[in-house]
Amino acid sequence: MRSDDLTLPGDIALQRAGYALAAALAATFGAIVWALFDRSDNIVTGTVIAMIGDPSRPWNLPGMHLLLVMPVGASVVVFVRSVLGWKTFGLFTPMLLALAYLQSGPIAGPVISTAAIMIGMLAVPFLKLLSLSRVGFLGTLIAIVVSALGAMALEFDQPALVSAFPVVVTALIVERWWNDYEADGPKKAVRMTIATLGVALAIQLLVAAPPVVRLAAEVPLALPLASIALMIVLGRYQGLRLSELARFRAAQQGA
Amino acid sequence: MAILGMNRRNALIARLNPREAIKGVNQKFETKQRLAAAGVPVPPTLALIGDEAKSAAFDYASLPDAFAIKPNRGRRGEGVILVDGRVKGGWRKLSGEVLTEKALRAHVTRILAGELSLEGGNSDAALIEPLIRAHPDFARMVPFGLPDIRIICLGDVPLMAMTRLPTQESGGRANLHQGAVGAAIDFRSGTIFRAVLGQDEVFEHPSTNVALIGAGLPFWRETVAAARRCSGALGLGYVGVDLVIDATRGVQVLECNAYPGLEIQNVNGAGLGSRIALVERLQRERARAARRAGTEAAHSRTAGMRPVKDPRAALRDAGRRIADRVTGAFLLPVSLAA
Ligand SMILES: Nc1ncnc2c1ncn2[C@@H]1O[C@H](COP(=O)(O)OP(=O)(O)O)[C@@H](O)[C@H]1O
Ligand SMILES: [Mg+2]
Repeated sequence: MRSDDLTLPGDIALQRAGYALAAALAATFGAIVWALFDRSDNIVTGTVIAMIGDPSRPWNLPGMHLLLVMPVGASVVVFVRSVLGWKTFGLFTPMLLALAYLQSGPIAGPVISTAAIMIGMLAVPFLKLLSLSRVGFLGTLIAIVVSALGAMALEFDQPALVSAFPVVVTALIVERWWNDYEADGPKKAVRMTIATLGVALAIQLLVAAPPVVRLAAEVPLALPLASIALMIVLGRYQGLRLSELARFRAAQQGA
Repeated sequence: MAILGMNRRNALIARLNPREAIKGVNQKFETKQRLAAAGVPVPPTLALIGDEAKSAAFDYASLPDAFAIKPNRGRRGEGVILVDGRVKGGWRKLSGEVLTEKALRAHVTRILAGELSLEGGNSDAALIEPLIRAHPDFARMVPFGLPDIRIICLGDVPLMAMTRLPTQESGGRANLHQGAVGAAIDFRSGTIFRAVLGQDEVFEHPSTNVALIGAGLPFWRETVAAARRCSGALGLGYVGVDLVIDATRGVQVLECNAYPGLEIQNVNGAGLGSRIALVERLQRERARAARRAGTEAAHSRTAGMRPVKDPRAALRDAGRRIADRVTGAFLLPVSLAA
């Protein structure tokens, strides 16, 4: 029973502490972003560039490639959900997120989008106080995410970094995160966030790998057609998910 | 195969639970009506308040001392308020706080606005029922709170049963994830044969130290009989029936679930998959046997060319044969419950 008459007064203090902690984490992350992308000559960015190369370099993939690898991303999502059993936000959110990464670059994509998601997450509790309708809420969230991205682009003087960024995906992730946070508590919501970002990262690395890029260039239809076959097989899989092997250990022992 | 996983469960539900029936069980009042029409015992309804005008006209003071109010399309117990006794200007909640009539009206307004209901709706109705009190045989096992019984049914065949016993830690809630004890029930004897708290097997209730293994449940036959009727009444081929045993009214179906959870398998230490496969195989065999019997009877009749003496009786017979073929009284495979 999660009726409000059962909420303990201590919960509010706990929530405040949790929010402060989340804000501190976001601030730390913000500092890392700044260190990575700040263009003014400072020693931190200098070292970073020396170590991992220019963090704002793009993938430089042809536009056609982004389209052709979408089904590959979808296959990964299907595999993760019905064979591994990991929970992610929304159905194909990790795939859309990975496409966003591909447009912004191997490092800039994940880092900038995560920063935007964090800013959205921190804004949600305040938006909830306004008791907006769902569209109103999402619309406002989109505007907030755009403002955050715009501010970053101006600060780092790299408009290209965020120009084509699918802002709506970010807003949807934030909204779903909040729904799950409310329904299942912070632990599960954090785990799902990590899984969503992790799967997106894996998709990005897979579909931008040189062999995949070469294949897409040489036989354009190979990837989508292979994905269709793969997803039909995966979609019919009715066995246990990997995560369920541990979950149903007690049931298996007795059976 | 022995264990039913999410993938197979979802496929089963897609095959056996029509969309409309799934929507139907989200509405508590309508579900109760359907169940009652099929002879399933459900909690009585004191009032169904559908809009603000009705709420304004409703005489809240006329409510009894003990009742439960909940959103008609609620979920996870959200918006449920339980009161048990009158105080000056209102009622006393089970939690001990006072619920004034003004606060109750405000709660109804929140329910009507849909704030406490399933997603995808912005209006709802408030349902008021008498307070259910746990039967003494259950009450003695738990510190406080209302234990319930979950029975998974495939059609009218009960597959697996457990009772959920609230603990101090679960705050009186009968929810395994919140720390309630899950106890597996043997179908034939109606007794507990295994109990689980979280991941661990337990033998006594952690809050009351009452021995659980071997404890018998009251009204077990009636409980199973009520659960078996829910599938047909609601049009759900695979259903999780939640029942409670009220101290005075006995067995009551509180809720039916079109997506019943799989945790019951860990509580029972057994899988649902093999039981479902067995029941479906038996059903197929039965249907085949009925078809064969039907064609043989038809052959012998045409071969003999006996004139129909009493056409009315012949029609009645044929009707019965067809009816038998479709619903075919399916025996409960008792071995399932072992
Ligand atoms: N009439 C009642 N008397 C006592 N407790 C009730 C009553 N109705 C509901 N409850 C309690 O509230 C919980 C949630 O009610 P339920 O009808 O199952 O709604 P939900 O769909 O929100 O789970 C039940 O598990 C039970 O503990
Ligand atoms: Mg319930």
